[in-house]
Amino acid sequence: MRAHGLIAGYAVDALEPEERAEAERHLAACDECRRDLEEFRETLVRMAYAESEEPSAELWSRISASARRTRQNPPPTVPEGVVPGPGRWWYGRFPWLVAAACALVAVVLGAALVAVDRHRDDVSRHTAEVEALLAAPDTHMHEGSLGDEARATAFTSYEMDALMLVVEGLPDTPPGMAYQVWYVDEDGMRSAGMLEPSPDGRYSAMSHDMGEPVQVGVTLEPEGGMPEPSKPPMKFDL
Amino acid sequence: MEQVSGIRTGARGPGRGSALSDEDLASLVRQTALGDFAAFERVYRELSGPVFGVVRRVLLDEAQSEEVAQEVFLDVWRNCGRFAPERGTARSWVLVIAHRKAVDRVRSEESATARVAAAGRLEPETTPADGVERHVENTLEREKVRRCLRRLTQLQKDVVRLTYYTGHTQREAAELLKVPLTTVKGRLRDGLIRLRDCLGVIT
Repeated sequence: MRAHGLIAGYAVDALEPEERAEAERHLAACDECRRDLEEFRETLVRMAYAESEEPSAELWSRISASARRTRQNPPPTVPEGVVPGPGRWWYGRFPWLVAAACALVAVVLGAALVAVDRHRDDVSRHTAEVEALLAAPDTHMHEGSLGDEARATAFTSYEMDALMLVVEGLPDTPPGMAYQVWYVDEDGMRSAGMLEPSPDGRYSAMSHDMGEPVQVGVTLEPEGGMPEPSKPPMKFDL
Repeated sequence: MEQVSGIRTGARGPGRGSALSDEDLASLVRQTALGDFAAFERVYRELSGPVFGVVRRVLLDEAQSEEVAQEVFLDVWRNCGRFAPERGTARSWVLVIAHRKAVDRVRSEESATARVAAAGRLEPETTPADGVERHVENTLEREKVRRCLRRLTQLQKDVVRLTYYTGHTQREAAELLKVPLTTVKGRLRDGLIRLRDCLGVIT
């Protein structure tokens, strides 16, 4: 498999962004690759030690001064009632996020299953993508309102260059119409794909090529989407 | 280069002779996640040498390397709650952050100028085997890595140097070496495997 050969390049940070995302998706599904990666990384630990060089004595004062002003991200706690699925390699890494995400992930995957023309392979690829996003070291969760009624939850990772969005409380789409997602950044708006309905009435999307958007927008558009939003979107901040 | 007084804590290698075992370091990282500053300082003392060393190796410029090393440890402070021992050692977790941040910096435009300036002082084409006049610590580990690098083929060595030590992508390395990308990928992979086996890395 092509992605298999990307692990060494991934270990030394020598991949192009799109290859990096591909390697991460592949890692989520390949035990052998994770073992290879771990061994390569331990090799690089030894090489880093061979370069060992003390920084100036002032560096620690600077670091400790800014650390004292910096909030730590929440430590992991295993919430009650959350049972890890077998073989979920990201579970141990990120239980708090997984707990928050569990229900939402079910929505995203549910939407993938609902889309009738999807093949099995597509669905498992989709599952791997969602898992890889949740496993990325820099994944953040954002919540916000869309318009008056709807609530949105987004998971973003710059490393994966991806966003997962779940929206609750949107009105049903009229026939021939669908909700489209937009990345909003300084340069304007870019399509982030279509929201897919899930059986429980929520909508979800898994989008790549995220870049560094400051907001996410949603508009009602003709099915298949438009190159630009036809009216100002409902937006929330990332 | 400034002279550092006192004990050079960063000089301890990851293998034999290291003052902190992987388990001890992992539990210090867990303590740090609870806001324990003393634990954070010990993590810093243990890892500042290799972190600064690897960042400097990629960036060359000393001032920039200190900036990046500072970012690395702040990242560790913020996110140590996310460290998961079953995914690798704490050393590896921190040094992955360090190398990635150094590479991100070197690829950003602002660093290009500083890099060129520093190249006048430090020969960028050298592997650590080439005896650059620098204050490099941990002589034993350095010797071992030097010996293992010598066992690579010339192309393996070039690919490892251009990617890991210099921060080029595989694609850029292929262009610089005028060989196909698939060759670069293959030599990087078998080069790392040879280094792993030569250094006796077992996980």
